[in-house]
Parts: sequence; C-alpha cells; structure tokens
Amino acid sequence: MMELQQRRVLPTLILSMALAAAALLPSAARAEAVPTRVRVLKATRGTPGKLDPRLEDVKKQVSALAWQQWTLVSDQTPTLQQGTSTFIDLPDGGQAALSIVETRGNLVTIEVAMAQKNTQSHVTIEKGQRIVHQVAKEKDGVALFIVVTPWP
Amino acid sequence: MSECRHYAPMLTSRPGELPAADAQAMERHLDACVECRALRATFLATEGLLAEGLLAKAAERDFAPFTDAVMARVTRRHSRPGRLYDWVSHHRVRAAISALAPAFAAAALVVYFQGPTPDNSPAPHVFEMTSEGVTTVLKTDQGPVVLMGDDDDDGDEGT
Repeated sequence: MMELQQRRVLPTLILSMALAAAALLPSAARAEAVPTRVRVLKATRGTPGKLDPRLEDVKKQVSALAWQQWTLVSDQTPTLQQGTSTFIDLPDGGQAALSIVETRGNLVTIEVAMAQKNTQSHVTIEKGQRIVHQVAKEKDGVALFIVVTPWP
Repeated sequence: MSECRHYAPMLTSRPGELPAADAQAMERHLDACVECRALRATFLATEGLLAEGLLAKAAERDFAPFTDAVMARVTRRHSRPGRLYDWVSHHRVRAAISALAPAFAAAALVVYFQGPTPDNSPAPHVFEMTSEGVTTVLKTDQGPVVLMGDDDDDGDEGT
C-alpha cells in the first residue's frame, strides 16, 4: 500500500519540479548577447555618385544624405553583449564602442558611443532593420559611418 | 462386565470431580477389577501429555526478536524519507500546491522582469540621445540614420 502511494506521489513531485525548472530556466539562461554585423563606411562628397556594391542594402538609408560616394572600409560580425562594450576601429584612429542595452523579443536597444567625441546614443530597432550611425564628423569632405545590423 | 461399562466413564475423572458415593463405589470396583485398574493407570499416565506437547511446540518459537522486528519496521517507516512520503501521501493537495507555488512565483518574476511583450512595446526607431553630439535622426523603414552635430568648424554636415 505504501509503495503504491509512493508510485502515485513521485510522478506528481517530479512533474511539479519540472514545471518549476521550466519556469526558472529561461530567465536564468537568458543571455543578452546578439550576433551583429558591423560595417564601417567612408562617405565622401563629390560627383559622380558612387556606392560600393557591398553596400547595396543600405542604399535607401544613405541616398538621402549629403555624401555621394560610399566606400566599405571594414566588415565584421561581433557578438554584442549587454554591459560589455565591443570596440570597432575607425580609419581615423578612433574607436566606436557598441553594446547591448536591452533585448525584448525582436527588439534590441544598442548603445553607440564615441568617447573621444563625447557622443553616446541608444537606438532601438527591430529584427531586420539596421542602424546607420555617423561616428566621425566631416573633415575635408569625408565623414565616417557605421552600419549596425543585429541578427544579420 | 456390566460394572466395567458402568464405571468406564468415571475412570477419566479427576479427584473431587465425582460425588463421594460414586467415587467410593468406583474405588471398590477398581480394587476388584484388574482391567479397569489398568485402564485408569494408562489414562493417568497420558493425562497432560497433549498440553505439554502443545506448550513445548509453542516454546520452540522464539518471540524475543518479535518486538525488535516490529520496532525496526516502525523506525524505518518514520525515517526521514519515509516521513516525507507519509506527509505527501496524506496531504496530496497541499504537496501539489507547495510544489507548484515556486513555479508560479518564478513565472511571475519572469513576466515582471521581462516587462511588456513585444506587441506592447514602443514602436521601433525609438531614439534616445543621452549626451551631446547627436542632432539629427532620419527615420526609415529600414532603420534610423543618426547624424552627429556640427558644433565646430571642422566642416559641413547634413542632408
């Protein structure tokens, strides 16, 4: 009789513990890390207009700007972490620091910071979108941009 | 012989069991009858053998460990894991609630800390400027374009 009761009770206990674990694990295992593609662009004023073929996907975003010639300088795919900055080297010797502020489903808030230029911004986009962010002011007709694409 | 048949039921009587007159009459008959005297002697010799045999049989079994065995089973049943099973088996509803409560609490914490679902989240392209340096944001369906401010004489800026 005792063994029969144990056989009935044990599955209940195991099921309950499994439910508790299932509820706890997602929050514990949730990693605020987002694979990201980061491209550095050099924008130049001048004619004729010229767009690097590897930047075809950002044509719509950059075509409205004052710079006509766009060249891809670097292309990398770091995994951005929450609370940890990933530094992207820029052609002018500076660095742009990228980090994850928050992720919620298909939304991600990314921090773009340039310490030397006292610039820091938080941008929230959804999966499938990208951030085009100027990282160096124009000098002699040339400006620098980065294109940040989460979940490329 | 008819006397023997008369006294036969009395041969197995115990002392004091028969009325005094019958006992004296039986004694007189036994003095005169060898067969009845032998029969009574046989009875007296075997009297009590059955009870002694049963007692001896019962005494063969040692009941000394019985108490220890019972106490050992009681101790096992109320040992630490046994108590848990006893409690759970007698309080199944409470046990289920106790087990599920942490799960629901954890789920509530997850919902609380995760905040609103994406459907209730603010629209994309939410832009927050937390320091000087960014002055222009162009919103497109492919994502925002963020331009730095032109607060020095380095050159031109803009769209």
